Amino acid sequence: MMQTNKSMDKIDKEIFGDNQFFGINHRSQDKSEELLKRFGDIINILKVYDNAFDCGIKAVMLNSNDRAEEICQYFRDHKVKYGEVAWYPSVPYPHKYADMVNELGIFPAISEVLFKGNTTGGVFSMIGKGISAAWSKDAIKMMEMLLDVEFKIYRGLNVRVFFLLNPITDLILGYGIKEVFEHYCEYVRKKYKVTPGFITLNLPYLKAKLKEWGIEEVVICSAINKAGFNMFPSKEEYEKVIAANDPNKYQLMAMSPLASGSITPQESFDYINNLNLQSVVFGASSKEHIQSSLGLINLKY
Amino acid sequence: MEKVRIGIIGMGRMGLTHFSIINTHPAIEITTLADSSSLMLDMMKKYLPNVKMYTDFNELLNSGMVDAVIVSTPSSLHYPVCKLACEKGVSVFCEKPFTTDPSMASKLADMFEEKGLVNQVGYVYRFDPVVNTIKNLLDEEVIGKICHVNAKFLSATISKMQPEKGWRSKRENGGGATYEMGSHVFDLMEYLFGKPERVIGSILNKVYSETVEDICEAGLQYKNEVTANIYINWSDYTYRKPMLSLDIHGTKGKILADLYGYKLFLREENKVKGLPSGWTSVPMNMISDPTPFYVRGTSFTNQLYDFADAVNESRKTRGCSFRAASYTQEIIHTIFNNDANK
Repeated sequence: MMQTNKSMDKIDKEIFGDNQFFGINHRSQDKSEELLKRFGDIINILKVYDNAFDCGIKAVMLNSNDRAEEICQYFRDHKVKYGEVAWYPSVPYPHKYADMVNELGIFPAISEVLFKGNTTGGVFSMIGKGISAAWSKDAIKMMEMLLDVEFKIYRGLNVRVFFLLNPITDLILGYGIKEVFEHYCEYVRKKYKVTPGFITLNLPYLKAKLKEWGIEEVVICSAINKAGFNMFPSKEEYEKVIAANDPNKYQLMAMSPLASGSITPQESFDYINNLNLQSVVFGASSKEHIQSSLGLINLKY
Repeated sequence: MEKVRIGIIGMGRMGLTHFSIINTHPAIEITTLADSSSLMLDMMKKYLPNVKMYTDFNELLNSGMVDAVIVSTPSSLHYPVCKLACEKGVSVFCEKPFTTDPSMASKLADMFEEKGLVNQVGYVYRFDPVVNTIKNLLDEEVIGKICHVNAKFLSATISKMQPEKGWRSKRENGGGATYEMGSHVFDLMEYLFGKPERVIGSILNKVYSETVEDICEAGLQYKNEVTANIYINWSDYTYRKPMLSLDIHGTKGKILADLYGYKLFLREENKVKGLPSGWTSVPMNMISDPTPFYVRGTSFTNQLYDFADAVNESRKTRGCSFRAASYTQEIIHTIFNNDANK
């Protein structure tokens, strides 16, 4: 595992998220459907990105869902214009796996993902690895192969952190297997030369485990908001852990900052601004909302 | 204090999730796993050296290494697994649907009650924060006497023609919209309104499946003349996520609830509870829902923690007992037998 004395690379303070594009709304199914309809056309997604960049956004978080390949391809094709944008991908797209695992069972689902839609060279290298993975029944090799499939979506982009999405992070966190976390971090650092990141809804538990295992220099992204929504086991525990955090070891990123029920965006961001946080990821679908959110974000760190 | 020793039987998607959740409970220790796939067990063995692995559940239950087990096998195995567990004095958390035979369900309920062992079925909505908030409103008669309930559960689970393979195409494995989704609704109805007096009528329809139903409609009648319409459709392709909803009509008001929150209509102000007349909307994130560790949903964690705590404290669970699940099983069977399309 990589450990150095220098402080870890700083991440972007303001990151533009993607929930709005995929009909993810924690409060209303109707709102979800409305968003899905609007962003069914990729042109509308790209317009929002252009608005965000106009407002001064320099970093983007994007999940490896159905639309990601298409979006990434656009940005690759227009590298001259968008080359400076920093990418914070999160993998995998959970629905894809959940449905397949339900239908096929776990191992057939994994091979379906690994051997579908890859280039010839890729397939051969994967089959090679796959055979040995099956041979040694090695979960970690299998994980590396799945990561390669997911990370391929972002090839050629300026990636800063690779995040493991919370359904996976938290599922494996419960197992408490140090090697899996250690290998994930090592693989991302060595093969992709980027900082490893974890999205979690259990920040205090994850942070304690990483510390216990001696895994440092990672980014942890977690829902953090004044209402305490999606903060487990409690908002109070989060506040304690955030206050005590050393940003040279763990950079902390808040997501869902506005999931605060009835309070104003001003109050919501004031709450975030006063915590020892290094970054915040937020979403919005109009230029006005992006601009006003940016105006309210003023992280202390 | 001695930790509760837990075994997990069946390491499919639910078993894998249950492991992650319950492994974070400070008062338990996972000692054993059983799964028919040796591939799965071999892979896990490497990373879980302290957990004993079995390809046969009989061996796990005979090992003497468990105080309680989580059963997440196909439903057809629930009866033999639970029966042996009971004979061995082992408490059981069993996934839904409990069994696919009402006489087996009530027999298991008898056995576990007689031995005083903790018994719980994974009807997870009993731990949902919205459900429990409306249960309180109903128990306190905030909307008066209940007259009528509409319950719907819609999803796009099966949205294309189904080849005749996979567990979903077999009713004895818990396949079909009634078992997979309807059982949740019937349990929820029982949780909120008690056991129905009778099934008024039922009709099962196919959309894409060959061997099981995609749509289940049923009418239920409760004591005090309460009636309910149930509509389950797992082939409604307009839903990205499963949508469970309840419309509850009472003499003093109405509740419209889904898993995102609820709306309450009161004809008159309720001064005792501080509730205004007219509509009040409460989104899910405004409802307190303390949960120690999140994997797949707060309810999944809270139901398993409650099971572990119940075993630890030798008390009953707050969840669905085998007895309650056997009533749900009876209703489902009556629905199958009365199917007007049969």
